[in-house]
Amino acid sequence: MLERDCYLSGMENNSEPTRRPSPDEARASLDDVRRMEGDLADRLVTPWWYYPGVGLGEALMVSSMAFPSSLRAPALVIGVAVVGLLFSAYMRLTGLGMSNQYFTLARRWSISLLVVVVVAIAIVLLIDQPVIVAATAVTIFVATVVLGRRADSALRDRLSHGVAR
Amino acid sequence: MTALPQFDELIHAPNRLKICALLSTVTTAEFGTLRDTLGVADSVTSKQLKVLSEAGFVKLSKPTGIGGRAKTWVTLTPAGRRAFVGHLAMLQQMAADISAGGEYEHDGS
Repeated sequence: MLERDCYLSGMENNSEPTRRPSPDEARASLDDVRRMEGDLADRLVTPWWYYPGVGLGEALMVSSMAFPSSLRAPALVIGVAVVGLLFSAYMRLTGLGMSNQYFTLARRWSISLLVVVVVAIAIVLLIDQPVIVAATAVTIFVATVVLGRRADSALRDRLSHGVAR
Repeated sequence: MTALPQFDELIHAPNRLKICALLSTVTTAEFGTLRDTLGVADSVTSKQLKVLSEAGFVKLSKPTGIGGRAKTWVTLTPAGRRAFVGHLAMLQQMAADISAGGEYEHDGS
């Protein structure tokens, strides 16, 4: 067993730490963190159905604004439920919550998606015409699938190379 | 998140460092996923999580699923995130003594 391993093993078992790590050991620990991020990148693979499902849920929520008043609330609830169930299924499958670094590591794509959703909601609220609502719902679906997958790829790419630059 | 470089003996142990690294990147992680990623036994994972939990660095929760077995989910607390980011910053400083290479940049936000 290497000296570093003995030392770290002692720390892990709560024995008295004897000294701080040397520069070499510090670098090795940083490498461990980078490797962990690389492993995580391999595990953060979003199932193929996730973004299409979320896109459908969002499209339903947006188009519900054009529904007859009696159907508006149920459609909205179903849309929210679909997104919630997909999120829950993603967590059960991967054993991981969503990355909390989306906006840092996949900034361009995640902000683009947010802008599309906000603009789509504004358009539907301002222009209450079925054709416009339908076109907006389709746009939101496509944007969610395309930009969501791009954001995932960007995130995994950054993690697999370590967040180190 | 920025933090003052501060060496943390509790976090520095290899498995605990890896646990914190993983948890700093995702909102939460399931016990089995942590164990598989570390490549260690249940008992080792459990022991390390207990140490981190007692230090207030992670929070363990066991939400009851519908008809399923309750699984343990682990989340890094704000104190744990601060300690981890500070520890990484200190490791960078230590490593810089022999390396003029790239800095380790970790945004734990």
